[in-house]
Amino acid sequence: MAAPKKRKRYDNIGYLFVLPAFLFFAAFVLVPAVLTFRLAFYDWDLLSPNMEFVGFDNFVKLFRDEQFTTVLGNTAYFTVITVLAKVGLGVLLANFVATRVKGKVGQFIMESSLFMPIVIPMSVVVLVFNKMYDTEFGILNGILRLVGIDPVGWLSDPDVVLNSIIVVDIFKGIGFFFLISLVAIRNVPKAYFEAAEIDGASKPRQFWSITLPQIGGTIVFLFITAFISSFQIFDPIYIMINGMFGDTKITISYMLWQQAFFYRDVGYASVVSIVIFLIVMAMTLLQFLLPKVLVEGDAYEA
Amino acid sequence: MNRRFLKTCAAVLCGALVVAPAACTPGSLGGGGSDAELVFWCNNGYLADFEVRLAEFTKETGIPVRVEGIQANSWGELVQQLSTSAYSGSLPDCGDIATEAMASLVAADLLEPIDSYLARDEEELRDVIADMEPVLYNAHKYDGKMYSLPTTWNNMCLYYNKNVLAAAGVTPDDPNYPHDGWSIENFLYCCDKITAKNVVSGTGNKYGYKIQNQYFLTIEPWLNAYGTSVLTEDWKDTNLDGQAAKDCFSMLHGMLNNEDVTKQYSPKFGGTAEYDLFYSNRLGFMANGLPYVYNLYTGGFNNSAGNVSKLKEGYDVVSFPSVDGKVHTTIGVGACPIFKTSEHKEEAWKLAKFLSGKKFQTEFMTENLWAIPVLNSAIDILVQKGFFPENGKLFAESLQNATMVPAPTAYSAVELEVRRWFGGYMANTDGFTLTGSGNNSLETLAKTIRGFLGA
Repeated sequence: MAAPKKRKRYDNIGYLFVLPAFLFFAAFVLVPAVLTFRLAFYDWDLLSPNMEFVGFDNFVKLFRDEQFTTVLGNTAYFTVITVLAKVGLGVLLANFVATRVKGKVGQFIMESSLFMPIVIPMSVVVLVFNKMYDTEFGILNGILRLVGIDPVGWLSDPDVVLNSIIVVDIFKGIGFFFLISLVAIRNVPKAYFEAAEIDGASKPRQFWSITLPQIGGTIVFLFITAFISSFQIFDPIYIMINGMFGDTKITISYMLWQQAFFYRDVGYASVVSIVIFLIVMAMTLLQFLLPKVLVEGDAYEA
Repeated sequence: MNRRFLKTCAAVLCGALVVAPAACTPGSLGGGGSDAELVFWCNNGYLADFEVRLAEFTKETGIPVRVEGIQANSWGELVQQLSTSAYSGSLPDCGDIATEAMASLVAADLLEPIDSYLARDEEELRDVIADMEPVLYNAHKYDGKMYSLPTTWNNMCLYYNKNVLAAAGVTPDDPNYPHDGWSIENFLYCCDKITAKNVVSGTGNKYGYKIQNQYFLTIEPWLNAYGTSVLTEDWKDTNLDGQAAKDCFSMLHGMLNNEDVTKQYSPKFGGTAEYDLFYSNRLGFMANGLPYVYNLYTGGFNNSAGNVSKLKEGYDVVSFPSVDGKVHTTIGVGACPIFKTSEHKEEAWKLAKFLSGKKFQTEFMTENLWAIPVLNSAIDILVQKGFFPENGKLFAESLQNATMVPAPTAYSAVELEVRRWFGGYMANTDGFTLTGSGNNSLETLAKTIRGFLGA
């Protein structure tokens, strides 16, 4: 009789442990999210004490806004390329380090140098790239001139600028994807590779048929993480472009910031943030569900 | 016991959920700082300067000041940050604010009118006010109420590189050589000579002028040069769809785009800072205010290394060229307004008086030339500096025929929208046009701005 009582008290203490985290979550995520949803139905300029209820007007405005379509296109372009590059290159580099780099020193150098950009603040990375991209004095155009190629307006040519920022984002983010992939690859039982070697499988074949299926769950996680971070990209767009080319090169998070704090159209900005939330949520669910449908067997464990 | 425990948890959670949104409700504004300490906001770039100078204020008055730097790339961004701070109840007692932000803050009822303070301290301020130009004194008057004394001001002019002009064969005896009251044609002639004569494929490219997508630095001064402005004089309508504005944008677009690459007058947006190009004798003209005088001096421009004659041989300043042959300048005026939420208004007013006062203006404002002092006596000291450019009087005398940078209540939206269109048009982005009535045409921009202004 005494034993169940003890267990019950123990369970209740568990709530107490969860409470601080939940309070934090409620104050900084849940409540702001609810308030944001509420604000989407109001016209408010951020400063005025009065808000005007406008029903679905802000949602209607979004669907008629050509800027939103352009910005969504930019964001999709940016996201697709950076997600594929960060996850793809991260896995390939991890596989290279795990299988080809011999010796602890070599591995340490590779791991450290690839992970280094992660610990550098994005603003610092952007400032360094700004110097490298400089049209007149930058090292990239310096190299191009040396080999007789005309300089490129890395940050001044509207056709190039978004790609320049994509490179910055990949450079900054790839370390994380590399490291997670590396850990996953190292956890694949060596016996599989030894058996494959005995059967005469080549390295690429081993990568394709053993490594990739074995780290499927990790790859799904990486895709979700990459998508969330890329879709909400803001810092380099703000520092490197800052609306320089009209709205044709900005992304959705930048548009949200503009609408909220420059146009002070908080209701409309809230609608944009809801759209971001819904897209990220939908894509995350899709990325969770799709592999379960496509991949059979025990290899996939999300 | 268990039920009581759960009730306690529920009560704490409910309390937190109630308090969290309440803390984010508009109107929950609080004053900044502790009992005896003033909180003063300024742009991050001026943080160190203000810390040093306000320490002097503290020494004089015994009032401690905590200077907080705000990271903002434009006044629009500063307004944005102040808005956010107002919402979260963390406004300072006072701050270094400029024309661009004042109307927005006044409209939001965040600033304290200072008429009663001025009336009370009339005797004390008589000499100081008499030493100011009326246009500066009245710069922060809205709907008949004063919100701040002026503390600093700045204007836009063109710095020209004498070495670059000489290398291009444009000499002082040439009628096109930069001089106050010169024409757009004179300016384009110089740019043409500079660019056409020196372009080589490689690192030696030289440019006439670097166009920047900036409201105060580029767009408004050039519109003024064409006898117009972003907004009408009362800031209640826009001039952007007028012919003068079209002519202005067309000229700038031509400089950036329409010429053959080998005759391109201006490097594209972004890329290289105009100061670096100017410093390395690869740019003929750059727009800026007084601060670059000090930067060029301390940076040892023209291998001067403290030799002021050598420095002056390398550059000078001139007004923007104009279509009517007059000197036009765009000005912005600094202020130290007191926030309504301040619990130390008297102390903040003392600080405001200190910033507009004789000591600050004549001793500190003439030190490193971050802006033009508001007292004529301080300007006199300034222009006598050995390293001042030959035509430095332009900084002091440009109040005549000056246009205040248009900064209505919806300033941040106006600035952003104008820069958005300007950037799109200059970069030849699809749909951004000077004519027509498409979504990104100049006509639509004007309509949008009228919407912001309620015109």
